[in-house]
Amino acid sequence: MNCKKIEELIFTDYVDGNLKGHVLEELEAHLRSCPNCQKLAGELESTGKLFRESSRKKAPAGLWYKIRAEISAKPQATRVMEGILENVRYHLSHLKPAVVILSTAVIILFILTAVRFMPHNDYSKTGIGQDDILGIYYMNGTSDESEYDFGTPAERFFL
Amino acid sequence: MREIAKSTIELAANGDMAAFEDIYKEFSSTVYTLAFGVTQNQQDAEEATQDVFVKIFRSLKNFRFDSSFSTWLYRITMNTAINIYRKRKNHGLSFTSYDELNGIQLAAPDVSKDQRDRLDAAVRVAEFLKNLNPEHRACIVLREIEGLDYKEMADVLGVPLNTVRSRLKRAREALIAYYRKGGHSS
Repeated sequence: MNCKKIEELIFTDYVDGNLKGHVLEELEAHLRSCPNCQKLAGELESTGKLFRESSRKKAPAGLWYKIRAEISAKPQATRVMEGILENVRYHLSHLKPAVVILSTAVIILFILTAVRFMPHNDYSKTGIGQDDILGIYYMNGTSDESEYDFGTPAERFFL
Repeated sequence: MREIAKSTIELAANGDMAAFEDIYKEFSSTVYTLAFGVTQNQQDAEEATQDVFVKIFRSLKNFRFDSSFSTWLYRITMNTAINIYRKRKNHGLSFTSYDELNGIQLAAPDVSKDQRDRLDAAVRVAEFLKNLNPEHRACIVLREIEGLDYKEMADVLGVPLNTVRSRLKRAREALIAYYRKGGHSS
């Protein structure tokens, strides 16, 4: 193993005591011959010791009475609702990948269904041809010509 | 991770405040320590601890013992603390200062050498942690102070084992960089 791989192990599994067998033996042999990795392991040991010595903190005195007062203050219905929401939130966070896949599937299904049933003018199924459609436009007075009729004397003369 | 008797949890779930107080006594120090580890602010840690126990009380009825009570409690604590930290960050973040933490020590001149060493360590750890983001803080606090193994951490944080390992590595890299600079934040 090279120093890069050894360093990765020192930062995690070695200092946390997860290594066993030949991997541990190989790493310890490397430490004996590599001052840089040895130094890193020593520094991590020192910072870890500092955490262990830092002691647990006690919750502030009187906090229990505040909690009890808050619990008693809310009506039962609100409590039950918040409890359910917290539970749903907890379970959803556990099922993140499943929720994402399910949501994506529902959205795709919705889009496919919407496209399938969307109303559109499919004249090919009614038996009306392209010429008939143009005829309908002319009969309705929706040709390009009528759109450019500004009612001037020149237009009245020619049209 | 420590556990508490199932009967105590069931009593508390049925509204027995004495049983719930037992749960509070057993876990309040853990919840407060974890919350402080993430927020690095005493008021925020207190707010988070209060929120956690109120949420726990209201959710106990729905707790089905699928996971351990501790995992559930640690998870709610971490989510609550990280949310409070983020909210505070958007409204101007403040950390409990080095002087404030030292003040705790100075205000108690009759403490033993061992206690003084522990307070010194707490001050240095707090200074270390300010250099990390809340996810990395959560990881390092669960490992170094609570002593959770990687599997327990993955369950609490709701992330894969490899994410736990990479977060720990990054957090420790940052700590070592800080340690090599002399151990004092600018």
